[in-house]
Amino acid sequence: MHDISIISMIFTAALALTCLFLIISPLFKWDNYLQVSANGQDLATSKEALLTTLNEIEFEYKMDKISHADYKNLKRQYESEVAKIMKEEEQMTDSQVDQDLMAEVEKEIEAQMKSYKTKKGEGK
Amino acid sequence: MFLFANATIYIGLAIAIYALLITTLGISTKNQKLINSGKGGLIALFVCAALAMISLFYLLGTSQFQYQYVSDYTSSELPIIYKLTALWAGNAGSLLLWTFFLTLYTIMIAFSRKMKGNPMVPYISAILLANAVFFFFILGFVAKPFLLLDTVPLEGKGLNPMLQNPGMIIHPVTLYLGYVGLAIPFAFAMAALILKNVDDFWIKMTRRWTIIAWLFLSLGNIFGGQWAYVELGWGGYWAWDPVENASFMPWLTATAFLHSVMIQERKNMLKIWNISLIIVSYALTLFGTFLVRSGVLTSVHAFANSNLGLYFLIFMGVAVILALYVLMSRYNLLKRSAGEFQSFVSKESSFLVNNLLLVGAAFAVFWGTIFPLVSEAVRGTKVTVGLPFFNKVEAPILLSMMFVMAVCPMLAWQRSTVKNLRKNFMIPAILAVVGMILMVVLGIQKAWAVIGYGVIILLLITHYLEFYRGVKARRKMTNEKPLVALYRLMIRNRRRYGGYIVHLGIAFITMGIIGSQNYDVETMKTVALGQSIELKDYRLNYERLDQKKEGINDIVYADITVFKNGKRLGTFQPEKVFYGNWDQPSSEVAIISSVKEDLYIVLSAWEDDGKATFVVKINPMMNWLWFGSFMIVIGALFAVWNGKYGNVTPRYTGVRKEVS
Repeated sequence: MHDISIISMIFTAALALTCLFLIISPLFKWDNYLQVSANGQDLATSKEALLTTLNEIEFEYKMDKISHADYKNLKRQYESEVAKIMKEEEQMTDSQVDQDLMAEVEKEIEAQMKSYKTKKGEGK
Repeated sequence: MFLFANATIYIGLAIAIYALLITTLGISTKNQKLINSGKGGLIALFVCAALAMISLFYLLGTSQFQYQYVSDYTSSELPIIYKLTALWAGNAGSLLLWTFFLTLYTIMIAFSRKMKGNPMVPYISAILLANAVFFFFILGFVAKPFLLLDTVPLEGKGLNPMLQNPGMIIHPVTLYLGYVGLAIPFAFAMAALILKNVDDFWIKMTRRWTIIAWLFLSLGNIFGGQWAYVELGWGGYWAWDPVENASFMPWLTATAFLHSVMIQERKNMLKIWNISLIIVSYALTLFGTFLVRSGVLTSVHAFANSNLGLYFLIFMGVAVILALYVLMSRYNLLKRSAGEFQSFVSKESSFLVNNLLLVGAAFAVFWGTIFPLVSEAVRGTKVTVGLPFFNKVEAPILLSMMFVMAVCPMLAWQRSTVKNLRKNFMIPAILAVVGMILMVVLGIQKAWAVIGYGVIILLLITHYLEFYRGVKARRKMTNEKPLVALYRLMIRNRRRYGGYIVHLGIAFITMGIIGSQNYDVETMKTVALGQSIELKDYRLNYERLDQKKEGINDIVYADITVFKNGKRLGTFQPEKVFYGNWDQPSSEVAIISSVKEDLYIVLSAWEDDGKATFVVKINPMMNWLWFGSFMIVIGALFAVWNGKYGNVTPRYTGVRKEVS
């Protein structure tokens, strides 16, 4: 062939060796098994998603896209879902269930919404 | 060099096959070591593809004409930039570029921080590896980039002069980035299905990839159009050429996909539809390549005839069948736990309409493109489907699309109140109608133009109001200054406002298209020296015809002084270039551009006595088109920009049955 030079051979060998190293070396390392993350985060993320939803509904109401009645209904619906999650969270942390938990929860939602707003801003 | 360059391809092929097998084995035996070896293979594969690229760049840059590819696409007098970019002038090189992007994307996914420890990674890698095996196989056995010639020619054949244009440097690259980019969400979708993860994780992970792929596809189309406009000399930018269609179809379906995934994220609906859309988009990228490389259709883009297209067709067939099999086997799982529509008046239903229109538009383009093939197969005659068909079919669909785009921002997710919609819709609608009446009064009387511009006025107003009301609502809560409120509103919701900017870009492009398609004026005149051509407000004085030499090319040019309403705009030189190493001459047009219109001058023929024939066109609103394209880029970049906000998407729950 025309130009199979020594340099060309060296480069080719280097390439082949690099590739071999890349695929073979992992086979001789210790197994590192996958860390499966615990499921506890699920509640937190769905709560966060619900809070953003509440936020969006409120924003859309302020932008005049939904009527007052619809807004009220939707808000109540999602608030009760947040409440449900918060209840579950409380049960998970084994805290005592209060007598009028709902009232507490309501208050907490309001507070969380507020802190969430300052943290995340509006319009999501 | 010969040995090394070829080694990059064949070692690459071996590694790709090995990595695919070892990853699959690792998945089935749940052996992390094997998977890690496969991941090492991904890096090796990237190294091979990168070195193959570097080798070809080196050979092209140093004009090593003993290589067939170098001698086919370059010559020694070519400027260095075109020598290098000749890499994607032919089949083998452009597929090498594609392979390179594929391996690059693959390692970006497999080693991304977000995906660390995720069980989807091996599956995604395997799917992308299957693609890589195909491409390395093609490079190794069908379109070989490093073939040697028996005899070393003294000079190369040169690069097609049409491709010697800055637009051509970027157009293929952006298009390939877009094509390859669509493989990523496809691989994620398939991996999620195989793993029976029917939630929207794959969509969240590929959100940015999809937008970036979409942006590159858009850019590919835009650069292509821009190139056609300045280089081909026929005064247009889009001809519904099969290959243009080939890149327009995945663009349409990817646009539909970008919108419909939002419904899945928020409402847990349309899962099957989304997966089907991404399968279709991915398949269309391969189908497009089949069209370009097979020579089955006549097109300005057609690469040298080869059986390469057939391989793409087979690969596409296999990929689609496997993908559909996976989809069908998970059908029940997907069907379960899906949300439902609650109201026809809601953002999601407007997205659904938009999806149907986009897919309809894609199907119409598809049908028009393959119709010549179908008719040849059925009736034995090849019918050409031309501009009129596409314009007639696409115009109403895309116009309805614009209307949906105009209305959509006024709707809320889940449920909009009709009364509020009516209230919000009233003012923009009245203004749009007033605008339409004004247009008719002022002399714009073509139905398409009036309706089109009317819809765009509506769109501009609703989008303006969306920004305005958003700022107002935000200020009510935060008391910020208007500009601060606008800025914070936008960066806290990048996807939505980035999307609106893209919509505005599309509106500008549409205005440009409507203007330039409906109100272009053209004349073709033969004039003697000193005479002039008049067209609308323009007077073109033909002053000189001369010839010059540039390198090995002969250039014939005319000096034309242009006056507009009596005011001198300057002297311009349309040219005809005869190439030393290319048979066909090409026209270098003179374009005098303004916000209102482009004056487009082509020197088409001349006689010995100095008489010359010019084609002069006025293309209105061309700059609007380019400006809109620019806005699309800005909007898409704004949407994908990594911000700290907007990582949580609101989620709407299904219908609640309540009694009171």
